[in-house]
Amino acid sequence: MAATTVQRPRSRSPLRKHSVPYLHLAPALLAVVLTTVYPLVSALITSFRHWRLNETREAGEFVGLAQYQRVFTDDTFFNSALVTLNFTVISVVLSVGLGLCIALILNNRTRLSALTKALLILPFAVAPALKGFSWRFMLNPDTGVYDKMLDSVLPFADNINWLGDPFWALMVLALTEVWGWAPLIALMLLGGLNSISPEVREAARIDGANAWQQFWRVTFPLLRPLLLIVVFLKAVFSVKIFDQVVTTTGGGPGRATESLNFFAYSQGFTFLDIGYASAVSWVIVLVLGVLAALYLIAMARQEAK
Amino acid sequence: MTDTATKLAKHPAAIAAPVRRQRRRRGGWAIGRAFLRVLATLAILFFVLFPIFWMALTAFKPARDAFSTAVLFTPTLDNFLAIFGGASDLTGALVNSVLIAVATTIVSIPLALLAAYAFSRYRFPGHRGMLLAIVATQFIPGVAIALPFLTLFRSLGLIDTHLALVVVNLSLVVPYITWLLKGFVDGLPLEIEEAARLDGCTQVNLLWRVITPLAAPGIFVAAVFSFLLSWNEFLFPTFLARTEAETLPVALMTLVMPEGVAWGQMAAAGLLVMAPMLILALLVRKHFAEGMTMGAVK
Amino acid sequence: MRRTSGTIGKLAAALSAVLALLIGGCASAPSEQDLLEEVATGPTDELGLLTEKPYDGTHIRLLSCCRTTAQFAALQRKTDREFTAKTGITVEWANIPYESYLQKIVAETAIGGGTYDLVVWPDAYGASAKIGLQPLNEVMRRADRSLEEFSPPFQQAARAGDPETVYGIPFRGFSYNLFYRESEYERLGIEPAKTWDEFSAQLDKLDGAGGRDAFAGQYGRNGGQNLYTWMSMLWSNGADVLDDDGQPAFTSPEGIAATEQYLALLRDGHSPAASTNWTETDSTQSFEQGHTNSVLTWAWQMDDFSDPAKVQPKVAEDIGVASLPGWPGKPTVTYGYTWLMGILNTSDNQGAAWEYLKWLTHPDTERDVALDKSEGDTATSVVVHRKNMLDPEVNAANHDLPKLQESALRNGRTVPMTIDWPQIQDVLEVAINQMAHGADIRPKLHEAAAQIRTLTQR
Repeated sequence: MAATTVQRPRSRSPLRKHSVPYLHLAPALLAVVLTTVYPLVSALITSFRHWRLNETREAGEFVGLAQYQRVFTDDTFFNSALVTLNFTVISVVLSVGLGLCIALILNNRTRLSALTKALLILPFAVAPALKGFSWRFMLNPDTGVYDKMLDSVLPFADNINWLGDPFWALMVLALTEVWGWAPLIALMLLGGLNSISPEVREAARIDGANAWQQFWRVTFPLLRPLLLIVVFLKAVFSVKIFDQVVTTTGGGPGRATESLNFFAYSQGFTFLDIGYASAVSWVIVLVLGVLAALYLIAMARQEAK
Repeated sequence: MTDTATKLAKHPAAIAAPVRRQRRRRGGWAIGRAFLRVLATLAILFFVLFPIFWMALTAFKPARDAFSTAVLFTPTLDNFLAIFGGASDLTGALVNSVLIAVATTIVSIPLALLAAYAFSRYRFPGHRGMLLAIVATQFIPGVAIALPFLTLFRSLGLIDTHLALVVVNLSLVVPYITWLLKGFVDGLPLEIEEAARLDGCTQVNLLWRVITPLAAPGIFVAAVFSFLLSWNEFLFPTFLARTEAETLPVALMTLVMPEGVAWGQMAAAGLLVMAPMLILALLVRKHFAEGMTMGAVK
Repeated sequence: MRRTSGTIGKLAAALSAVLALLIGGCASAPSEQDLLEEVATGPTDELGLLTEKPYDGTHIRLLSCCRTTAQFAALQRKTDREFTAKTGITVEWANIPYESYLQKIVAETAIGGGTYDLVVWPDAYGASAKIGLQPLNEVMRRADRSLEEFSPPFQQAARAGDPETVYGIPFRGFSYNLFYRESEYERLGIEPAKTWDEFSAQLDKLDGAGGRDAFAGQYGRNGGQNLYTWMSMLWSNGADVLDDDGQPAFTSPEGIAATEQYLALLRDGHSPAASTNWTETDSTQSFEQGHTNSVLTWAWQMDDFSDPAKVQPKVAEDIGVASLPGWPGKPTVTYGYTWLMGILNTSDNQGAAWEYLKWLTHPDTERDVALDKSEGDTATSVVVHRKNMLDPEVNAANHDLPKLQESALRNGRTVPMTIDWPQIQDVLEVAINQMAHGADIRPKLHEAAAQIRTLTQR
């Protein structure tokens, strides 16, 4: 991160000096505190109390760490953690990989590429819940248009029930994400590719590097900071996957697509166990918080190099 | 990409650049490659557009053809009539979606712009920490936010109100657009601000008369982003809306009936959910992707 | 700079005011009212409605789903034409999407938002919802209404697990039935099976008959739908889902045998491989489109199956229906599904709400609706009063289906009425789905039982 200039022409006392930025920040910070810190604190307190909404309307007695113990002995929780991990890895790898391919293919000045670039933003704008419905419709094993296309191209696909098979159901879920994100990531990366001067690549080519070597030796290192951010962004959205789970698979088959967010939703909203759902939420917050911190530290190191 | 230049200088290929073997692999190869590139580009176009095209097509199909993969059929407006005032009326949800997304945007833009300006123009204790903290809030699972608000709003009698959804949407929108706007403000030249200040411009005037117009393209992108996030939000209305404040993405579920999914109507409703976002996205496409990464790169 | 701080300060002050309000203003939780005190008395008409119109001009809101379902549509239309005309009370059916309905209904009822007066729920959620419901015993007694009007499973559902208290009145319900292609049965010379063994043997013959699969099963995961057949089979074989102490009982030899028989329908290839993930609508649609020769489903589906506007005309005129098979020497038990309507204890219009509930669940209202075949989208065969189920006119208008159900439902049961049912149902439906995907039956049932024991011991 390049340093931004401190823009205070007249000198003043440190307190007075800092009060100005804090005043600017206050409204936004207040909104963020109100809408994220408040619920987190509230959920923390609830996580130590027994509270099932179908038993009592108000929160019940304090039960200490009992609900946290339950989280760590709950197989379905670990299942959803694993599902979320798999989903995140699959969708990040596919989105970024495909996004990179698209960016490299479109990184030229033909009219067709320009048109395609203009349209790349579209899938991201489609509501995730709707993406779920539309892919579910198109992959219906009897009548879906994608299913028919795939069946005619790939003979083995004929017997695949896309949303019925645990592996494919997760892939379809990932695909709904990839459809929205790969083009967007391509757009982000195209911005980065533009800033790589043609001379560099020309130099590499003249040096005898083939296209593959050119990519790995020149393009990739220059894109790396941008790629790190893109991976981070995609991961943030992926670990929170919820909408498409509801509209595409409902968590099935079995529990093969129950994500962490879906699991917490079931405990809180379907089973009305507010206390347990709060404990689950906090475990998720802590785990993701640690992961996010690690990643941010790694990113900062990368930049420092 | 500020460090491109330094990396460039270090790169061996950039240093050793003897000019030789310049014009090899032209002719047949080049044509083949160009052809492959066109094919690949068409494949990308197909990948990007087909689901949208198919939904649009299905929306105009008569109910009995919804499952057929025919491209030629007699188009009908039945599905649209059904969701606009017909048996599966969604106009109420449409109005709710617009109101909530507009209100969220109007509330969040000034907050985020002020914060972005502070992050961009000042260094102060906690600068980096707060910026990271704001980004980090996006890791909080939606349920952890929605559940406490469910019980809180119940006490306040705010379940199923627009206000409730606008408040919760802020948790999604403010952090993102603060980040996004910081990137835009970073890119604004300082000279104009300095000149304005020398002319005796107050801080309020500076923000309103100078920064806001200069950052207008960024603000527009942020507004679109904010509108899009609220419009597409699914988890919060699932928890906090019932009938009065129900938004479109949740109302899509109305079309999953005990008798089965009404796919034709679903597609028509899908177009309704999609179309405004597609248009907005096209308007800001130039800055949209940049905006998402700019706050971090700069 | 003073002006800046002032403006920002004001903004901050306004926001902190909102914050303070949000944190501190938690004192307005709705309170319960006594239903009896709310209900007016006076002369009544033949439907039990107060002729003096004490609630004239009142607007009440009913939390419901599925506004396009024929019976719901018929009742709504009749409400405007008849109920509002007689009482001056206007009724709004607030429609929540069916897909998310069950969660929202219980959340809204339990939480007590206070914006609805009446609520509609399916049996399985009664135990969870009753915290927000008004007991109806006294007002029913005073109006000379009784649960005795209904079949046993409907009565059980109305009490929501509480032996003495009535929380809702049944207004929609049905038995589980076998629907089949009549011509195919005639051609093969078979009668609807009395036992499951016989049923399996018939499926062998029906495999591929008429180019169709023998049976449309539903083993997918969706709101406990893959448990309907399973529970009926379990009960008919003398096993149970939970014992009297609420602990899992389905791992008994009879329970395992019933489960094996249930999954054999799929594993022996009678049901299409895709039905591993089919929900109720997937299997009925397969039957409607003429892809399968038989299906097990709720009696109300006859409304759709026999409607040439909704299904293939060839299918519509070729539907046979029978009660479920069972085990030799044991009474056959069907799951009797119940929809109930009750009054929310946070409602401010409980008197008017009772007036509506009384009218809507009156046998005469129900009879009118079941006889009215004037329009396709409101024609329904659903009746839940025993009197109407045995009524010759009602039967004549509805394929004799009410009579058939009445007899099956004498031995009918409802789901276990416990607040843990949503969790238990989730464990069970996942287990069934996984067994359909090939998991071994015995260990999977034991695993599910262990999970249920853990979650009921909280």
